[in-house]
Amino acid sequence: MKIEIRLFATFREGRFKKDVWELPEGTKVIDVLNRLGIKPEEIAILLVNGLDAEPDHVLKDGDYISLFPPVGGG
Amino acid sequence: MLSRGEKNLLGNIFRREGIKELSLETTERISRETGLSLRAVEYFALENGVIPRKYARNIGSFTLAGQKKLLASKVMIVGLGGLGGYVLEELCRAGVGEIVGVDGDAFEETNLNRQLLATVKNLGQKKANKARKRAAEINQAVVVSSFVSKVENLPETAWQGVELVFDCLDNIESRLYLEEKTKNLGVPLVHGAIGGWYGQVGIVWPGSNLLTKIYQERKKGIEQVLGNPPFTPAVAASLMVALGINCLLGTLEKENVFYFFDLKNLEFEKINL
Repeated sequence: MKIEIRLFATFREGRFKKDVWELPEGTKVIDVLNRLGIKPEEIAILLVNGLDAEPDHVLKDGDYISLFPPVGGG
Repeated sequence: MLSRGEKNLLGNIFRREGIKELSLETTERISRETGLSLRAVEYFALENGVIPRKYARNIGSFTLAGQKKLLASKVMIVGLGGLGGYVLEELCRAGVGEIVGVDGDAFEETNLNRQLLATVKNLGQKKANKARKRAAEINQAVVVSSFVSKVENLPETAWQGVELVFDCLDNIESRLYLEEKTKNLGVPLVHGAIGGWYGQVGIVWPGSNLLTKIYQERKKGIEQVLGNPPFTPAVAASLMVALGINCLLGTLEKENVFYFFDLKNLEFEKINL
């Protein structure tokens, strides 16, 4: 199945802005995070198809994941 | 805001002088003559279809009724640094009638790259005191009270009558306190946060707990590594004020969304939470 991965802000550094991966059925968000080298605790907002999701979310063909890091400055 | 007697008093003056537009000078004179506040005179004018000249360029974007609503509103700005300085500036110019400013810190050299209220002359002075002075330079009709205090230590009276709060803080711990506090008060919280070329804004409706969701137990954001350049706070603050004014005017849809912006790539992302 095809999964699109969209990275924002610092997550793009050394990676990419947007990519489509071919992944086996049953792949979870956490598997994608592991392959990206991003720990769940580094993520502030994790979306699947634009909706709030958890790392153990099971992906299906055509899903897209968006990852945002935390910003806290003022 | 005005008693019947005060309305009659002002009505007589406006009729007698045939006032169709209100200059600063006239506002001040009527305020002196009647003993009523500048804000009250402006409020009366708007109620009677007369536009105070200082708000003339607001009209079109705000209706007269909207401008009057802003003038009658009371908001709080928590944090008067990068975000808070610009938020204060825009709220005063917009004519939001009563502003409570909160910040316990004094200006430091490292603030000079981005904080509107920070100047060489101000270094070492309390941000909350400077905020009050700046507001008076822009719009004397606005009633500004300031607290040199951390938000956690504010007296209960400081929150009285506040209908909207701006989260212009620079640390996650205090932001989570503010979310809890505004939830208990039942007041919407306009959130803004920045780091490097990036930022996020959104409204935390009471009980939505969006900040708890985003920050969890986290202590630090990417700003710890990326710093805060001059342009990011100005953008975030303007977005916050647009959201806040829209909220005060009652024209904002109540949904749990955040907006994430990236000034390096000029991208703007709407996030449903």
